[in-house]
Amino acid sequence: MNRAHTQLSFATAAENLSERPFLAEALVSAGARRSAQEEKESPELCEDCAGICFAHDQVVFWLADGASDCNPLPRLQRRAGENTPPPSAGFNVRLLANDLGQAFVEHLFLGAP
Amino acid sequence: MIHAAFSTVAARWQERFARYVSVIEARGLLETLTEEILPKSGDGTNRVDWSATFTGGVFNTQERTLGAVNYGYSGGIVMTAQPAVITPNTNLVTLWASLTPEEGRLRPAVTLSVDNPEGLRRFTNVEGFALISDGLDRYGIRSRLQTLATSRFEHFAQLRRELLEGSGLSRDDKSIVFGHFL
Repeated sequence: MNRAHTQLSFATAAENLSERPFLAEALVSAGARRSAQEEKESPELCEDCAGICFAHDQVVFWLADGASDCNPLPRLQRRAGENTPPPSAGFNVRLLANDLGQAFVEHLFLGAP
Repeated sequence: MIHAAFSTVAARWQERFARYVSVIEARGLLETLTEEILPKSGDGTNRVDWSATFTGGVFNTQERTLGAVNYGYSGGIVMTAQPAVITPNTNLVTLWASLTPEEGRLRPAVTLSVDNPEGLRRFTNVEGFALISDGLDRYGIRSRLQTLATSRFEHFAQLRRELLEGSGLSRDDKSIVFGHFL
């Protein structure tokens, strides 16, 4: 068999690629809707997150998926009269997946310390 | 380098976790948190962890170079003259939160744990890339990526369609990141 037909190859010519537009896309599907009982029993499904940061000649891209068997800590509601407001978020793997992506982009692309 | 990026997440989470515990304590609910909600080890320390896969990369469209990193069960394909598979592994990114008894108080901490930390894997003469997240069947992705990497496509849209068809009706979620020259 011709080797060219056994590899991931494309009809597109490879030369002068850098002069052509580059397309990048991220698709995230949240999964099937679940019943309230299913949601209660397994609250941490559907944590897939993805992102692309594109400017000039650099594309930073990522995807992350939180582990469903980790215990979440819920966000605390603000109470009247408290001196210290609670954090704006709790702790769960969906937040972790998003934060890892954000940190990756900041570190590689935006030059954050 | 990636470890440094993720360490900033641990630092932010530690700050938030400390505030969280402080508010819980002010509400008189610290015992509920430590005795009923958070797992407790024999030395009296409460520990809880959160883990995620992470696959990422940076592509230079002028130099056509790509650096990629992969932690966990997701993976991808890099379109080069010899297509390369970003292979799934079992190395997740984990944050550990703990409350340790210390001088009559509880000291909150969040630490980063990455099994086998790795740097960016470098690729040259890149025409495109595709990433796909893991699924309920975690171990099917490796063979699927190998199959796709040895297939022939007339256009990138065909590969995109192949990847999307793998995310059909399921309880699972799915994410795909795709990039190529037009």
